[in-house]
Amino acid sequence: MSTLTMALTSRRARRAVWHLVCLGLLAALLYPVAWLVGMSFKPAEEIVSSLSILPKQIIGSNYAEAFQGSSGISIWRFFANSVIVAGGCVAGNLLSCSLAAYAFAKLRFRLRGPLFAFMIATIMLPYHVMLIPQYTIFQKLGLVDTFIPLILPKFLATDAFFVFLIVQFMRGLPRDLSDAARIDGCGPVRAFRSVILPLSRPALVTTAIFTFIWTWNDFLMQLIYLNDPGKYTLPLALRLYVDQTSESSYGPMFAMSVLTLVPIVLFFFAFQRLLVEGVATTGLNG
Amino acid sequence: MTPADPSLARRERKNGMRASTRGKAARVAVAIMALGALVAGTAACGGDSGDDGKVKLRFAWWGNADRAEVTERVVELFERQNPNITVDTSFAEFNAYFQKLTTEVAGGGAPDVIQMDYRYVREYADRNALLEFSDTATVDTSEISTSLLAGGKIDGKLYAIPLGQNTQEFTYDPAAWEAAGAEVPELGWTWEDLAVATARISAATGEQTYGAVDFGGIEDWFEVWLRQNGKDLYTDSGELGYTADDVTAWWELTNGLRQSGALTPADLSTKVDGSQANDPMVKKLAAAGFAYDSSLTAQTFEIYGREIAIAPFPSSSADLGQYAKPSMQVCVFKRSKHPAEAAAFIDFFINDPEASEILGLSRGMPVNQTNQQTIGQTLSGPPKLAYDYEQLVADKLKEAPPPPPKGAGTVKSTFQRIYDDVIFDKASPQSAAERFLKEAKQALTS
Amino acid sequence: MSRYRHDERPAIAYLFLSPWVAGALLLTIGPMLASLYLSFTDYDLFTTPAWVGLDNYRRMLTEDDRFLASVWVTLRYVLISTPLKLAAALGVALLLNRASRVQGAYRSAFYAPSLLGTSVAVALVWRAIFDRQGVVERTFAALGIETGGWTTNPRLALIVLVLLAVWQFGAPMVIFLAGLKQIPPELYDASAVDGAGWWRTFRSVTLPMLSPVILFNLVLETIHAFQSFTPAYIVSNGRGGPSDSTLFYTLYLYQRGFTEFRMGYASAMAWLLLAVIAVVTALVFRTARLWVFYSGEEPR
Repeated sequence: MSTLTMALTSRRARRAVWHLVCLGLLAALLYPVAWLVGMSFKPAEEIVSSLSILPKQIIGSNYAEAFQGSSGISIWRFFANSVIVAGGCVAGNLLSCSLAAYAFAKLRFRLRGPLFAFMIATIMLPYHVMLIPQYTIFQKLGLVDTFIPLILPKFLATDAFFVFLIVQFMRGLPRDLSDAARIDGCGPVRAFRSVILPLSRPALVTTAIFTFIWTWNDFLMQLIYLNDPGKYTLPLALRLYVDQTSESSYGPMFAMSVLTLVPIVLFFFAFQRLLVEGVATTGLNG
Repeated sequence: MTPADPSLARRERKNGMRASTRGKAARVAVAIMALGALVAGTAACGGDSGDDGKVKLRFAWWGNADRAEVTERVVELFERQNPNITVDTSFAEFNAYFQKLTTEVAGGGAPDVIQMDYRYVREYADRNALLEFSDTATVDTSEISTSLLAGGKIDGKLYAIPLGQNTQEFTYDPAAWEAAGAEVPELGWTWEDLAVATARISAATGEQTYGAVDFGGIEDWFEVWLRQNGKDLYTDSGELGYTADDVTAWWELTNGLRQSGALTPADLSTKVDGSQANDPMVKKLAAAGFAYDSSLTAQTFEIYGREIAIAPFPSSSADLGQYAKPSMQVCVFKRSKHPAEAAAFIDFFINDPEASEILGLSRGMPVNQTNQQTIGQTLSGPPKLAYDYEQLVADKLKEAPPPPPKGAGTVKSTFQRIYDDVIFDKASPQSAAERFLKEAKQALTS
Repeated sequence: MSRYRHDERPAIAYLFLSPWVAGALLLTIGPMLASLYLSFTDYDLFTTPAWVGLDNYRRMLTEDDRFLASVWVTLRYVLISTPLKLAAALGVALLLNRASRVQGAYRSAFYAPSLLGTSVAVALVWRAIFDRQGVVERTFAALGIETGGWTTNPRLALIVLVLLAVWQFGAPMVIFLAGLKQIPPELYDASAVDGAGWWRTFRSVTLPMLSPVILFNLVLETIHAFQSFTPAYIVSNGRGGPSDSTLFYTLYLYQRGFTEFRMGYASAMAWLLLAVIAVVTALVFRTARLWVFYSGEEPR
């Protein structure tokens, strides 16, 4: 009896300690985030002159200004553009990376080894030197100032990281399943569509979430390829508030940052369970 | 990792099947989204000039949202008066703008009308990216002072037209100066006066507020000092116009003031990049600093949290050393298909009275003299300070030097980087100056 | 590993691979070869490249002090930030690896810093926290240690960037969490029966079982750290200061290519970096044989 109560209290105590540790760590980790939110409620002159996290007076005008958009373009337009780009990239990566990964993981062909090595090598080259040649290509094709240079590469599986991730997952899939499909007379195409792809869902979810978050935050590619402010995405719009050669509107910029953060936080919160599950079954140790 | 447990595989399969039915809707949605994106992209992707004889110009510039608003209004005005021309604008902040411009020029997709920084004009012009303003591209420059216009000329050919005028100045906090009993700076004050005054302020505040922001690392202020001593940053042939001894003397002056506590310490000075966020004066950690008068805008007093005043540079010679500098310029891309229209737009942008009224001081003091006077009548607050200051020093200003040579941008950043070694006590002014000269020469050759 | 199947037609494989092949041919190989070619030239972006042979490589290795400085900065950064980030990720993953109703919320909260990416706002926040009179300096001052502003101190600035990297440990954390979930509970039961304490269980069960995931994270985070650019770019405003103390390799490469218009030199730097990363990755894989434990029947 007494040992049971002791065990219970000690378990409860351990749980409490656990919560305390988690919350303590989070307090430290989220301090900068809180600071960011605090800034978004500060008047402009306080932002540059004071380092305190709490505003002396809370104002909403930064948000009002952020919601007005920038240079005659509504904030919803920026949101919509970002959603189109991020959505297009997610679709592209899912489709092309899974196709390529299936070939690398499950099919045999003569050049598999070298091509796979080449694919891994493409992760290693700094992108800055590829920028101008790639831009030249899209410029020659007349595709600059459209979303195509941002989305098309994803449909062509240029994100080798994800191909690699899905390959590792598919390699870990139980062999008997694909064998069964084969015995049923499925060709590789049907096996891919009706067995491998559904089974790879967790890896695909991982790919989708990481792609979404990364393209949502990407700045450089969008800067280079989009000219018309009407096509600007959120990261570009954010930078429109800050210019070191003229006056910067830090208040609306912080407000806009917070607003930009909201969709991906929600997105992550909704999908994080699937994300963990996704990697959990990924054959990382394969 | 093959799951040995068959039930696991079964569960996975079940999940998978469920996903595939549910996935159908998602797939359709995704496909529509992708299609939408492509259509949206292509629809907006027009040719350079349409079939209806309309000319399409692209105008790119750097700046903030306020500048965007007035720019758009001027563009609309221009389009109304020139129904056969449409102007597409795009803008970004300074660093991003030049990253993008570089890529575009290298890839052949640069805008027709390019806002340009003084330090990059020759960089682009020498590489054949800029069009000379001449018969094919005419802009009326009769209302622009010739000394300002000189800042856009290379070997007598005009490649860049100023969009705004500014000049160097000394910003200070009059209240802090008076409180410390320092003598207020005015035309004719000397470097010696500056040393005395800044030391007094630092002492009076117990180094809570330093006399002035350390100005030793900024090539722009070094240039004024050089000109006071009869030298220039660059010779006409594009070589360095000074020696290691000059740099040593300058850095000994500023570093000495820093060591005595009159100027800001290294950790504050190293951040200085022209932005308000990194200006020690804004945080009341310094009572003065050198700047360009275009930095005075309607919000200046709020941002500084106090009233500030401006004065000319100190000089220990008969020469003030300052000059009327293009705060920013505008150029036409060499391969623009519509140079005449591009020039017409620029002409409108700087000379049209209505356009000038809309633009106000968003790009600095108007360069068209008539427009400048018109605007001068309407000003108040900090911009009025700047305007009055311009009138005060106008007859002391000398001609702007021609655009600096290729590599000058690197020299400028090297200047500040190596001065950092001095203020962090890693190098003596002399050895730092010698190293700077070596690196600067390397940057200018090749 | 199954035997080679004779009935498979490689044509099908290339069909599946076709988008990737198209992408590689159109968007990757061309630009990669272009940059390889440019690395042997003097190229200012606007005029025709001029062939200079190995000159860029020679100058880089023998004459360029800033190049060497950037190499040291980058090596220090990689060596310090990668283990710290992985340790943080693993630590939090261990902490979160228990059943709780609020686990999802915690997980999201710990991931939040990584969702921010590296934007202007993050740079401003980060600078302000480590700035003179910022919270970090005041904390240390309260403990009697005078540090001054961190981002503006050449000896501390790199630490600020390391901390920024460590702070955004979300991606490896999620992968570690997933790895932990894969460890069969029976192993822990057996260990408990043996009377092993937490530390021994961690060393004899958790670490070995997790080693493949550690390898995966180690490789990707190392590559990532070598290529790290944005944090230094935004925190030091593109300069790598103070006194070149945060001059990352890629930042210097960028300065050379885009602000000094020496794309040939920048390309040579890129290819040297590629070679170094390849060697390091190969070394990591080589040592992995000694410490990575594969439970599956198909070690690869």
